[in-house]
Amino acid sequence: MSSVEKQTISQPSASLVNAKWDIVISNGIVKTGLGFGAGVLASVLLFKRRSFPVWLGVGFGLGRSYSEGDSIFREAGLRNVKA
Amino acid sequence: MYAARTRQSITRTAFQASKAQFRRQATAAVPKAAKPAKKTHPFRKFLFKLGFYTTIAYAGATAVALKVDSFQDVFVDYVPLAEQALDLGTYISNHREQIFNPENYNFQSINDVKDKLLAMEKTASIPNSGAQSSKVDTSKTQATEPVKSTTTEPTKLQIPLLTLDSDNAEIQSTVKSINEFITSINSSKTSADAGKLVDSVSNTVSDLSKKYAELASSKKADLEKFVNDKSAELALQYDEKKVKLTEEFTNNLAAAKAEIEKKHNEILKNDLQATKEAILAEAQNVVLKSKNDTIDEFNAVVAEKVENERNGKLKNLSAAISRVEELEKFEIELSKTAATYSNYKAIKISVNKIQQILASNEPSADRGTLLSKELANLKELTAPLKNELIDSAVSNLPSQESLLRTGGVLTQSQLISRWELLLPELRSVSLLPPNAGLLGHVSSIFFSKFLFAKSGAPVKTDNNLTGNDVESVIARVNDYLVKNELDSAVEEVSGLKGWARKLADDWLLESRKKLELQFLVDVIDTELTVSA
Repeated sequence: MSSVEKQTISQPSASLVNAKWDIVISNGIVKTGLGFGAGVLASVLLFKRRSFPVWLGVGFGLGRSYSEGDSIFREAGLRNVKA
Repeated sequence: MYAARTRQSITRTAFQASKAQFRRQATAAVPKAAKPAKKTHPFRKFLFKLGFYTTIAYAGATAVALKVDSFQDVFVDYVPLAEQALDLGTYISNHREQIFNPENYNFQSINDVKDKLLAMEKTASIPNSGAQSSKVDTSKTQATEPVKSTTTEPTKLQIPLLTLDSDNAEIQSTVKSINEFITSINSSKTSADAGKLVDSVSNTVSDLSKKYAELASSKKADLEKFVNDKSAELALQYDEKKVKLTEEFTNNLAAAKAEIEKKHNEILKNDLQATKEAILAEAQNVVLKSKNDTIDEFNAVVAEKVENERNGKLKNLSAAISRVEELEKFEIELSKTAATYSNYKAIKISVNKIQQILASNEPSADRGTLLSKELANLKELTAPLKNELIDSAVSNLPSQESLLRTGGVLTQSQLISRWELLLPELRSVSLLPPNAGLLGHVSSIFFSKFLFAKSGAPVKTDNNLTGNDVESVIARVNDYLVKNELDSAVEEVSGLKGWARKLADDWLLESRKKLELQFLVDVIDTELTVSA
């Protein structure tokens, strides 16, 4: 949340929501990508190249990013969001 | 051809075989279908078994619980309806005869129960005055009682012993003999002898009592006579003493009176002398004072006459001096007001220039510098006025550095354009639910694209119900900005709530700065027009 606060102080108040959206979307892309990568790795190494670990990984990534985005918008301060 | 035929024959025979098979199956199936399938009711059987085994389990558990205490604790803690089962078990075990042999058990009627209850509650009633116990007199009455009691009851009687303390020897001996008799009566078993003995005793006792009464009365007479004699003697003595004392007292009184009279006469003489002297001295003082007063009056009259002569000559000169002084004063005041008038004019010019800068709509690059220069000028000019209101207004003007840093205050058109930029943000945030998360924001952005845009001022109705939603506020603010009513616009925007208010913060800041400056300058302007 410290990175979010710094951004809101320097930027004008009209783009508060837009700044949050930037963080949320970038965080989402990164987490989904990580999940996808972990899923591919698991599928290749452990699961005989089946497709379900990839989907699982992507699902995990999307879920995490959604939850963190939720906490960012609600300013809950529970998560320290770093990409 | 042969193959085709065999194939044909094969298929034909196969077909016939299958037909026969089907026929057999059909006939075989009929008898099975004729017998009806028996209903098994598995669910009902299951419920019955469940109820039955549960009841047996509860009954067994209560029986064990009634015997074993530790099992009872566990049973009551962890099994539902255990307490009710235990209550039922204890009731059955306590009323076993009633339940299983009703004909042999004699049930109590309601009257028996009532009587039993009443008998348990027997109480003694205490009178209102309280329980009292009367002391039984053991001396004389007890002695006469056994006479009556022996005649009525021939049973054993116990007479209490007589206790009577006295100095007279006769009485003591009599008491001793009485006690001996009483002990003998108590120890003896025969009742007839006892009666005779008791009679003799009673006779002696009555004789004794008579003698005692005589003695007592004689003693009393003697005592009375003695007392009377003594009292007469004492009375005589007291009378003599009284006479002597009164004589002494009167003599002393006369002597004291004579002394006091002498002293009093002396004092009176001295007082008279002193007052006479005082009055003489006062009279002398008064005479001297009046003499001095007359001398002073005479001096005053003479001085006055001399002064009047002198003043007549110099009167004109002082009048001329005073007139010149007044003229001087007027001239100073006039010059002061002239200076202030010119000062006012300069201030007015400066104020007008500031207002013009504020109201101008062209954003120039050096607006900030112009404005700060004019404000400094204004501060200089207003300092010598020493007007409190103007001084406080001038001190609240924004400082030079802040103006130069932010390039002065925004023009009207700049504010309006910033507001226009803010509008789409406000609209996309207008449908947010409270404590919105990601989904809330997405849905707000999506659905706000379908909102109708409102415009214009609200129609005036009797009830002051103006909408507070974001669209109405936007419409009203647009209206006010077009009419150049910045203060109403700021009021509306500051009434927004939640995310919309957070987004509009910067715009509010800028417009408030401008409003503040405008207000201060207006205050100075009106103060000048009022006081000048």
